[in-house]
Amino acid sequence: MIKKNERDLEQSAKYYKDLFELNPCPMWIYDLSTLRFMEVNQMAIDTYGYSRKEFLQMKIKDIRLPEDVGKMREAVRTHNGEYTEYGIWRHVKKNGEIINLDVKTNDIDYLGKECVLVLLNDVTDKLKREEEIVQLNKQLVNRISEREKSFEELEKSNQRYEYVSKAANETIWDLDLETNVISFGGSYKEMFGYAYYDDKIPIDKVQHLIHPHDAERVQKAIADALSDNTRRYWEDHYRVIKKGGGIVYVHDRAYIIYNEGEKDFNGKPVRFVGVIQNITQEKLNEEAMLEQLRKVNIIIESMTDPFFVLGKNLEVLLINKAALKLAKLEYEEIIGKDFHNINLSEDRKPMLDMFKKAVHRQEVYHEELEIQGKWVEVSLYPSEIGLAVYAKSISERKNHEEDVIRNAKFIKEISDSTSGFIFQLEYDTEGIPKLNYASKKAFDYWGISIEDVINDKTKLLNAVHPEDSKYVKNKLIEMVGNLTELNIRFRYVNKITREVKVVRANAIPTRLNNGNTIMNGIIIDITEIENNYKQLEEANTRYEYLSKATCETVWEKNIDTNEIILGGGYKEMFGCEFPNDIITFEDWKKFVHPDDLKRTLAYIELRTLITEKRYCEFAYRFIRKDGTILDVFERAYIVYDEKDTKVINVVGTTQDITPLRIAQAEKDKMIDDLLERNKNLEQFTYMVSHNFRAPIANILGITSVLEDKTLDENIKEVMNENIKKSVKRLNEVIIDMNAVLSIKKNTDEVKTEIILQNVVNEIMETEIISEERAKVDVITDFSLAPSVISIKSYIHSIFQNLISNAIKYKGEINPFLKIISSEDAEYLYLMFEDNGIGIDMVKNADKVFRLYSRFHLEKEGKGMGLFMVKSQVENLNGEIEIQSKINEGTRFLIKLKKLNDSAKEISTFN
Amino acid sequence: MTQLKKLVLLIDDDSICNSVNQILIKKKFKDDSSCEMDIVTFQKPLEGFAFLLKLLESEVYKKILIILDINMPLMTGWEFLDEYARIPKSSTNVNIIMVSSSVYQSDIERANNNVNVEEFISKPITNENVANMYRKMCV
Repeated sequence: MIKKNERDLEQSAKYYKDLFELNPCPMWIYDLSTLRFMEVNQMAIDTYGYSRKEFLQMKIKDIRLPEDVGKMREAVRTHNGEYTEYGIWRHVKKNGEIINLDVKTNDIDYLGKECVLVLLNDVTDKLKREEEIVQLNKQLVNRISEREKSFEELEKSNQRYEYVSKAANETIWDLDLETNVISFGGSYKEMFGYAYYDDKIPIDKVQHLIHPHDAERVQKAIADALSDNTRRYWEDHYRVIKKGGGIVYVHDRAYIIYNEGEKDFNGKPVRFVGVIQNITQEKLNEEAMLEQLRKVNIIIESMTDPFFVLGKNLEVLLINKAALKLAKLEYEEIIGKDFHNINLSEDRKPMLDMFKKAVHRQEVYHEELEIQGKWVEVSLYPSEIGLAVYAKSISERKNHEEDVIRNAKFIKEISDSTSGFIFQLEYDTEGIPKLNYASKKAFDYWGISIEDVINDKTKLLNAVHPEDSKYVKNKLIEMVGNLTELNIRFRYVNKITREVKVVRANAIPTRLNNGNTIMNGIIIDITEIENNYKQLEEANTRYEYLSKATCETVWEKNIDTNEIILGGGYKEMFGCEFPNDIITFEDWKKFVHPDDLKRTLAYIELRTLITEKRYCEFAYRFIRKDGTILDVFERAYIVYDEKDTKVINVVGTTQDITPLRIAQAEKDKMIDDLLERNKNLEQFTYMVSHNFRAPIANILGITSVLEDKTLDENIKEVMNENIKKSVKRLNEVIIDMNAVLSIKKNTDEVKTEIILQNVVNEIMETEIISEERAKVDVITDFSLAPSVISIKSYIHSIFQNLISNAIKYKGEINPFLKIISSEDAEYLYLMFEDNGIGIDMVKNADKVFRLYSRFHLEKEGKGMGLFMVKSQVENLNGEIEIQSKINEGTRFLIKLKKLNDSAKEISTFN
Repeated sequence: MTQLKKLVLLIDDDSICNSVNQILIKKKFKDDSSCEMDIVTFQKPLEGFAFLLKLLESEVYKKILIILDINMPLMTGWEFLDEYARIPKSSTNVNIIMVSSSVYQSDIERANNNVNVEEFISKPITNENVANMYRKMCV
């Protein structure tokens, strides 16, 4: 059965050798015939204190107490060749110390001799370990009896001590397949962190310790091994979960022990014995190596330049994609192949020679090669392994070099053909500059011949303007010291023409190997640019001021980006600031009054469509950030491309014309007022002249009647009476005029707080009205505005006229007059409402407030009241409105501007 | 016979003016008895207008001379003229003379530009004015 499986045997030999050698119990083999030690394990050597050599010269009686030798001989004599437990025996160590050992033996054939394998257990040591060892060793002895052959091989093996160092890190286990109880030995506690009572535990209690990822596989493999009766051996690598959650990588090797004690040798497995080796460290090392390799691979693959590693014999060990691409070969075609045998095109042959040379000389080697029209710098790094080859594409650099040459030529041409010049300065290690080169235009700046400057270091900065000389020198020193780029502006004075030129010098310093510093630079004449710029700047500044002064925002709209760049006084106008002074067209729209937006956009669109018209103006309302509304006036100029077909951008200014608009509105209103007043004045003078003349004309008329001497006496009397009446009327007109004119005069009167109810009360108490008042119900409500600061005589007159009108022209049924006041911040509002006979507004709308306008001849009246009311209201910066219907009533609505003590806002009639 | 009768219609809100004018006109027409003449005065122009309408309908008078004041309440002389212009043509010969104490050129022009106005007279009416009226009415 053993022979059936040579591999198993080999493995088991190693296993038993291990078990023997590494066994924590002393073990030996002695010759049954000579009773000499044939083999001892390390533990025996350690325990007894004899060296291996000493042991092998001794007999087994040499470690006994003399009184025990007889017993020993008896035991050997009665030895039946089977596994025997001899119980506790006393042995003597080299140092004379007596130890108690539990002795078990089993006969074996060793090196062709009849021998006995002895397993000893030092019971003087920990009793707890005893049982385990006895148990294990029992199995071991059992197995050994059928594995004599393996021990031969074990003996022959050269690696007998190979695993010594790992002894401490092994766990021995024994699974009883009948009871399914597993017992652990060795260093399992150290390895896994668990400790079991008695070290015995049902198998199902420990199965879960196998890492879930491995559990299924391992269990299946074990089940397979156990169900195959030809199998003696099983091994696997798996992970175990340590107490506390850590992971231990293990290598588990085990033997299947069949029940041979029974007659039916059909191979029923009864025990399963194994050794678990902790390989965590190896595993981690391996992982780390793999990781390392992965990283190396990633690095190699991420290299865009070709890279490969050759072995000593130029076989390809490693190659990246870029190299494969260059070689135009597949990975399989090249990996592991000898570089000689790889089909190379002609132009790659020199590479092979290079490789050989590099490997031979063991030194780093660079060379630039042209492969398939591409320039490559090949770097060879020889090492113990072989040769790492790195090929870097330098086409770009090569091209760049050509560019540099071309550019240098170009720059020289340019500098010779333009007003500027190029130069090269060289600073020695002491910091003394010397001109190496200057293109011929330099002479125009210096007025000194270039050769002179090249030959005489002292003339170098002679042409620099005296005021700039120190600055230039310092800057040059700074640049040489720090190797920073030079970018300075200074002036040259031509030594011959005395012409001053403003120049800008740009130079780049380079440190040479000898410590000198080379500086290549260019000088450009910026005199004109600077002048232009100055003018531009001045203009700009002026414009900025101007635009601020005129409340103007300057803007430029880019058609492509739809962005508006703002300038001038835009912050004042918008009431806010924008990042980079830029606003999008969409955002700008939000500042346009919604009512004007559609019109404005339509206008803009229309304008940008009509190419003939470059300039446009439009006005709209603008809503500031704070919500205030401005009237703005936009002037825009549309810029077209060369073909006049496409709008490139629009530039313009926006002017806040709100003050202008307000002023205009005020002006318009003033003009309207003036026109109105002028009309009133005309009407007034007309009526005044008419009414003055009327009585005079009458008197004149009467005099011509009286000229008739034959006139009847009665008529004469009537005429005389008429003269009196006319004179009286004339007097009345004069009094009226005084009253009217006094309105204008009274505007200077002191303003006082007037209690409206008091005004009404005063009027009601006057004689004329009190007679009639009983007939009209006068209702007042001044709760909303009980008083007003104003001119008392005006307010009194207004109330008097309107109250007396209401009484005079009262209706027939339940006549009333309602007077109500209210106010807001600016105005006092009065309403006089009656149910009197009313005025025909359709016919008389324009005459109501005229002087001497009368509508009811049945009643007494001069047609002055409403004229006076209107005049007084207007002089208080107020307005009056009348609503009336015949036989229904009249309503006067009066709005009076409130007066503050500080503000005399009363305009004068004149 | 009635057709030959003539009428002077004085319309002025100023009663003094009316009576003075009436006296002056009466006196002139009395001096010449060959021209029989009625004189009627109205202080309220609306009443005067209503009276005129009736006269024109009945065609009682052959000739009517209206002395019309401009500045009157409720109906000015101008409004009177506007209303008069709307009346259908009548066989009665109507002459209108505007009078006013106004000396405003605009009033004078306005009166002269109205086709129905014969003449504008600034008050007071003089004897010469009355003589002219007589000539129009009786000669």
